[in-house]
Amino acid sequence: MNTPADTPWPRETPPPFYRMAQFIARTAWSLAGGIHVHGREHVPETGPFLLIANHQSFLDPIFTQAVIRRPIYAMAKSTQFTDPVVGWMLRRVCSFPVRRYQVDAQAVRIALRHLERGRGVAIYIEGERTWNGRLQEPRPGTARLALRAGVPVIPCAISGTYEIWPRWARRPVRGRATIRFLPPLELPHLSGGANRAAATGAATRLMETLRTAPGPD
Amino acid sequence: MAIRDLLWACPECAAFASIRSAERGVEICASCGVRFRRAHGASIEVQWPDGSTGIRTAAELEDRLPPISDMPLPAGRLGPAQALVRIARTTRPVHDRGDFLGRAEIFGPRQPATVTLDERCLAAGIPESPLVWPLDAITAVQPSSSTIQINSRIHPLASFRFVDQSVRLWEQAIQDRIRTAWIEAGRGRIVQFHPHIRSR
Repeated sequence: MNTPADTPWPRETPPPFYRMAQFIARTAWSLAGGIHVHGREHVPETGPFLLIANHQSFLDPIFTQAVIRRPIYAMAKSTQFTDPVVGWMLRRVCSFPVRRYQVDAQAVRIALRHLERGRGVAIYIEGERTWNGRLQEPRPGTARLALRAGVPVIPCAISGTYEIWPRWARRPVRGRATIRFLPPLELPHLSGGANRAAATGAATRLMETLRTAPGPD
Repeated sequence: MAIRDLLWACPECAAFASIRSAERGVEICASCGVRFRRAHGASIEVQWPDGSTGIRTAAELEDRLPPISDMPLPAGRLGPAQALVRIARTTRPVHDRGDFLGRAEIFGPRQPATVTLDERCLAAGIPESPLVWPLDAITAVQPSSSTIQINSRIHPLASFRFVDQSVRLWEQAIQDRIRTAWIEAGRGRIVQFHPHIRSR
């Protein structure tokens, strides 16, 4: 795979609906508590990268996409795409389906294709929202993808969104969210696919980075 | 979603599946009378029957829950519980501007069912066509928002939404039963339940 060092990647601007969604999310939440962002300089302005985040709340993908200027491509559960309106909106905000009850080779292919085209892809390493606010076990498939892609891996520690809208609550409340982009992790590039030990090692490093990140402001 | 989805047992008296909705925003343990409601942020206000109150985090309450494997099961069975069950009929391709992105499931209508779980199988008593999932045929147990999705070798993907019981209780109980069944069958210790069950 090409990297930013050997290819001048074009700057990608989000499509209109995506920009409108970013504006609405930022504006709405600036009135409801604010989104504090740290380490935005770690997100490459052009070229492929993998954003690996923890998952506290339904709001995480919305806030993460709202605070990064370039479009971020993210997996969303496939069942959401069957609703015509929701499916249309998800496609407009650069989401692609993943079937979570089986190993979804097509979702991995799409993620790799986006990276090959110099795009940023976001993945929630725990695979689902936390119930109790604590970090969960990582999904080894995420680390495998990171090793296979060989692109910069930006850990993203999200905090505060669990307090705003925990999984067990019916609705959100006001509160401040903090999104902390951390320096890129140097992971080996295993183009032929990663074995279990390598994937476990990478997942452990990613989780340790997220675990030791400072908390909310 | 509700607090009972987080707490599969009462953190005060350890009674399983005892937390029920009371008035708006309040849930109550039918066994000991402790009341729970969301306080500020993600904290939970606990009100004991004597009127005293305390604020706890979800993690603090969860730490006090008994393990699912300790749950007393009358006749070795969990349930019957009321649920709405949907079965995937087919899948549909998802495209964006000509690019094939993947496939998405088309579910059939929600059907009311009584769901039970025992040592050998998960069963949904749907009036028209009862369905049974032998535990050794289940290939994935995947929580999804307020539902559990069960994938298996014998039926299409099924989604369960429990009407008045904790979705997490059922998720944990199904996983616990499958874990035990795999060990008894010599298939090893399960290390993940999704995207597919894998043992070591």
